[in-house]
Amino acid sequence: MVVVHGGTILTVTDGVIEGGSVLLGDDGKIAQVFQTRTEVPGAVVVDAVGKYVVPGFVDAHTHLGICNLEVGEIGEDENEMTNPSTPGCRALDAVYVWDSGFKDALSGGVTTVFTGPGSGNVIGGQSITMKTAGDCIEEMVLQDPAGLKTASGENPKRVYKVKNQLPTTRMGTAKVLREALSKAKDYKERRAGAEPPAMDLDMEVLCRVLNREIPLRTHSHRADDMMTMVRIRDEFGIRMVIEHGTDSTRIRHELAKAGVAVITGPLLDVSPKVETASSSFNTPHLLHEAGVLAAIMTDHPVIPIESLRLEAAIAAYEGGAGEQEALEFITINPAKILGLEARLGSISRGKDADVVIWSGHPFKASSIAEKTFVDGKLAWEVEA
Amino acid sequence: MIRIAAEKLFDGHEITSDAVVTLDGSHIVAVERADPGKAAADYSAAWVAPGFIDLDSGIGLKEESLGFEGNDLNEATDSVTPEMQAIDGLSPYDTSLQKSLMGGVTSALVMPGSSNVVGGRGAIVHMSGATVDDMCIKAPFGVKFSLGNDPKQTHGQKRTPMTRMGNAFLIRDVLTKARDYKEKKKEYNMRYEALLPLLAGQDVAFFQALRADDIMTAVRLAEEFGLRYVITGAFDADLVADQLREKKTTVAFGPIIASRGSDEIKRLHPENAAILLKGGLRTAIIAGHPSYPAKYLRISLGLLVGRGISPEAALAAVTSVPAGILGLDGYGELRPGSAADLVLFKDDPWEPQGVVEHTFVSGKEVYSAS
Repeated sequence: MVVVHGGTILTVTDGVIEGGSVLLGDDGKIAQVFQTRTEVPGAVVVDAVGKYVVPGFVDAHTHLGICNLEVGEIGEDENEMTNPSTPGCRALDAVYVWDSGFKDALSGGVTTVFTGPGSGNVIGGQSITMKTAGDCIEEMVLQDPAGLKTASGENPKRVYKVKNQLPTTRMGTAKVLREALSKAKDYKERRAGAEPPAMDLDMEVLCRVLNREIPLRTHSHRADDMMTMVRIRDEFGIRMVIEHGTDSTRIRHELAKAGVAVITGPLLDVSPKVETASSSFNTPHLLHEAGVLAAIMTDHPVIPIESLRLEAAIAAYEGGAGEQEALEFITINPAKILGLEARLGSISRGKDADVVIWSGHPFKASSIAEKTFVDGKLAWEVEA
Repeated sequence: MIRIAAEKLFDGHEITSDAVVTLDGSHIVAVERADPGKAAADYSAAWVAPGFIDLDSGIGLKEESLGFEGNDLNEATDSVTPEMQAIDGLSPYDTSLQKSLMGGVTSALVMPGSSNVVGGRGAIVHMSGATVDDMCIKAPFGVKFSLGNDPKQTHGQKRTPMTRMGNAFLIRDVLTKARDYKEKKKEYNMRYEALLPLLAGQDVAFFQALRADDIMTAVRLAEEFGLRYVITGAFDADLVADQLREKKTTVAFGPIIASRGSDEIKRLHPENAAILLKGGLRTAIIAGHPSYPAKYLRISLGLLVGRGISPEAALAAVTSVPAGILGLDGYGELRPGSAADLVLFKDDPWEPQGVVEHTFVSGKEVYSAS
């Protein structure tokens, strides 16, 4: 057992506790949150006086480990661009857990990530949710699959235009997705019938989408692309989360009505494409205000994963969100989007003991994550 | 006359409390202690600092939110193009320019990209102006050289270079020929003409070099030809900090916030920049726009302050240090006679909460948050 002692605790869901303590249990869960400096017999004391104690951040959209870029092209495994529809591909088979990005994540207080295929294909494959500490994927993974990646807009068009292959238009992109889901519907019915077809790995995962077990995680920047995706969602009665949502501000009320969550970002970059022109740190706040469940992503390696807190900080002070709301964009909100709010996203009794001790408020650029605990174990510590 | 009251004032070198800066036209005429007896100031702010100068930027040459239409960074039809001039490709309508002003960056040395071994000549420009001529402070200035993977990757399948040897050969070759041309000038040659000010010590070479071996190759080449030079990028410079100190090398380090997108970037860490600054090497910090947005250059300084660099040293690395490297007298400082390029911040400029409230360029308010 470890007791983190005397810090300013940003619980996220139960306010700020000045000079409180957090007991991390041997079972990897938060055993108790105390309002004061509390001695616990048998627990190792970690002094946090004058420091901030913050839940581990959750980045709900990354390519961490699947994009091991520091070795160049040979480390690039996020887009199987030999076919615009590859639902059978699994991130689990491509995440390199020794990528230096995992250490960076821990050094930036990020303890859980959603990572998976890129946006080169219309249907990219299956993503996973995982902790950032560990030595093999099996012990790190929380959800497999956590969602099925799909993409609309410029990226699939650009990839397949070069190959002179469908899709080269937005119409083509929607067709690929709609056709795959329609075939899966047919497959699902026939699998249940008297003469079932042979098992098809692509169809199997699409059936899980049709059964509402996992959401489509759909890369969309332009507002019309988002509305196309919502239309397809409703045609098939499936679940969906919008990724990026760069131009979502102009349809925020429609999105609120449709009950779609949006993971915004990457924000700390120079807008690279026509469809990202309206990129703004105001977006998550405006979505939140309209009643949309919103989060912030790094899209690592687009923005380095350890900068997630800086994106939230700018959203707080420049984007109108304020500190509490901006903190929610990288903790409890992404946890809710992942369906993991019972385990992640706040310092609360019974949740995973993913706790970070910061030298100052995590929204100060000059603050440093000094110790990062994952499942109650010290996973990272700053060099003295 | 405009009077600006500052709770904290950074004058390019030191931080003082309760000061008043007075602008008259395009220049600063006075920097004084606040006098309660005097009339109220026109503006007041928690922090006032000189406008930041981004040394080695692609702003305007690679326009935000555009593809090839707005990309004029690299004339990669040849690997040696000293005759290109940034000023001819720079768009004053790049939306990043206004965003830079919103982040306190008021000027930059804009240079061609790193795809060519010799990319061309740069331009020192303000971030505001209706035309590039309005923006221009000094052009052409600076010759951009590039070592490492980028030229190899861009050209290797078609022409030299496909190796680091090829990179160095091309630079040595063109400088040798330019030197020869200077001595026995025959037929006009635009390429060699562009290098004459550099060979005469009137211009500065900017070598983009990330890996430590590339950095030392740049130093070797610069010394062979007696060039004034700056190493830009310089991610691995901490590995050769002693050698660079001995040679009094100047470094423009950055961007500090970037993913390890290639083998050359894999050692990038804010600590590397902190080591250079602590080691007394003349070091400017750059945003490397568009790799990292110039608007948030200020926040990358916070990562240095968190690693033991004083706020004065961090702020100097984006103000008086780059101004000194560029030889821009009257920029990067707030003192009587200097250019009225200054920024008002809500809080510590290196922290996210220190958002920019007002930005002045040549005495004109070019951005106001309210």
